[in-house]
Amino acid sequence: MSKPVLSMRNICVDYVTDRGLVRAIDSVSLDVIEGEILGIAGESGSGKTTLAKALLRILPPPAVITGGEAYFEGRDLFSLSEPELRALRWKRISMVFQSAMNALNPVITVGEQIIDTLLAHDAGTPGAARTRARDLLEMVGIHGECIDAYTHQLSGGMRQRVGIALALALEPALVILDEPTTALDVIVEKEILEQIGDLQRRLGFAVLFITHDLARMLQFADRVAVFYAARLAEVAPAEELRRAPRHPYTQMLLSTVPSIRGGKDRQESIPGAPPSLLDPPAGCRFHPRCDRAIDLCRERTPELRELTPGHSAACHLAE
Amino acid sequence: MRYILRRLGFYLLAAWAALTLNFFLPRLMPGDPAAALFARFRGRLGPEAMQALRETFGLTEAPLISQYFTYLGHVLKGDFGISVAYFPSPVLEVIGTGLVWTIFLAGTAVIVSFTIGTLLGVVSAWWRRGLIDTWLPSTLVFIGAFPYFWLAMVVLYVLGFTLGWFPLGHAYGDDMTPGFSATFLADVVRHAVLPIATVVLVTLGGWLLSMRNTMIAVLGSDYVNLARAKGLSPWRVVMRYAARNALLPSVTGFGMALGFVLGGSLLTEIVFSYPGQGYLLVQAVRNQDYPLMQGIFLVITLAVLGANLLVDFVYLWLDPRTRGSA
Repeated sequence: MSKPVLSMRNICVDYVTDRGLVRAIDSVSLDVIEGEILGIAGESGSGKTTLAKALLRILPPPAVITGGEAYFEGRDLFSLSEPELRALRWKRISMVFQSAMNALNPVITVGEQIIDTLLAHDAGTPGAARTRARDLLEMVGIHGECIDAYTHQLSGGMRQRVGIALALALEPALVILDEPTTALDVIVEKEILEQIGDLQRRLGFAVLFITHDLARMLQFADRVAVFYAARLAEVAPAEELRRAPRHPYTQMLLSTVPSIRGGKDRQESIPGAPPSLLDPPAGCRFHPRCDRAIDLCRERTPELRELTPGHSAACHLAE
Repeated sequence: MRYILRRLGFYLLAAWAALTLNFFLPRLMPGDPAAALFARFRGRLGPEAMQALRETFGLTEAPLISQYFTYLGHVLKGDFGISVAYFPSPVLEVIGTGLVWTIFLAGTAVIVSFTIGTLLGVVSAWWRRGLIDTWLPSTLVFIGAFPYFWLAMVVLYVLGFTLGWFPLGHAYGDDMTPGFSATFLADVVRHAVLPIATVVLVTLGGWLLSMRNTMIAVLGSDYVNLARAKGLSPWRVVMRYAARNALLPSVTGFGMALGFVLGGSLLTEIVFSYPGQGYLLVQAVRNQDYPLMQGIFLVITLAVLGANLLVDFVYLWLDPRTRGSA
């Protein structure tokens, strides 16, 4: 296995509320290997986006990083000073936001938003930056003339492509994709994911791909990490996860994915609802919805255990 | 371009509507203002003034429609008749002198207040819950909640009357001859300090709060978050991404405020006996000076329209989304 570009160790993020701290990320340890696509799957509210924003340290208050380290190229992101962080942001780690509608400033041109990024990191003269911005737009299949367009003049798909061009502007080592295609229709979604895959193979950056769409993720990612209620439930190579999921939550999640060869029988859904993070259940957080739960599950929190090389699950019963 | 023409057309229409209302309103009032005035000033008004009055109101024997066109013609020539209170100066001349002082006084106050208030709003939102954000907005809102005339009178009493630091009223001292000399201008500034400062003091809180609140919402938006994630300097994030966008609603407020400036800051000009538009309006009402009132109303209406037009154009420049399909 080649070396990790990002190593997360026991990361905790809390939201400060009137009713006390709400732990949105609970001791998450995870590696992103150089040049791989690591998928992060989970229900809404399971902490995926919070994790992404924590890594770039752009969590809006009242969210606070309360523990852990994130080693990126040997340095802990959480203990960098503000200027050190600013130099590293985007140059080494960039991000494509969930909603392309809101991620671009509506009152300045698309080009200016790419150019100011290039210039902030001393990537050449204003003229060179403009040429580079045009090239970037053309790289993601947008006409270079759109450099002087405002976001409201672009379609949803084009905006998200601009977001991708922007994320690749400084050739970072890691790109975080936070549900980049949620707001798009399936055809545009497919095109954009294929394009990201192409660029990733060509430029060799690692991808942290966040989505709630497990089926899509299994096609796209090399490895997948499944979140449940702020904790990691299972981490495995995509192919293996599809074939042999070990955690009951992953198993139930996969059974909800419709198969093209499946019959007309109704799709299963997981009974119950994810727990409130204000007052999570004791022991394994999934036990109230798990049909195999035993007493141990109600008492002790299962740790993430490596079952076979590269495949870990946080379940007392998994083997 | 088409947008600009459309806006211009709209404002011309609005101006025409205002002119028309201005013509019909006196006619809808019970009684004959010209006759009432004539009766009140019996012996002091010559036939020439009576004629001017009648012409101003268009109260001739001609049918209404031709009266209306005569009126429009006069207005377009800038002929509003002769003032009663400042007899025998023509209304246009009276308004002209008042207007200069009002534009200077209230205009400066609005611009100073808007600029400082907006900047403080940016500072307050950026260092949210910092020292400035904790104390300044509430203090300024507290001050702004006082009745203006009371606050102005207290300031005038303490700084003007008791301590004698500033003159008690008027735009310049009686011993001055108006002109572009340094001493005269210095005296004008000295006379303007208190009225401007009091207006700024009570309006500052509004600008601060409006900017602060929009700014906080914008700071939470994805594009500001992205701007930070891009590794831009904090200065650029604040100015180019946050403040730039948060300014838009405040610009509308600024335009409205500018429009109402020409209406005269009535209370300011009364408390400080400042010879501006608001002071004139009071004189006009006191003396039943209908031509002057009509003239002032028209100026106010046109000023509000003009300020709105200005805001529309500034918006075109500030917010590309209003430019339509280019």
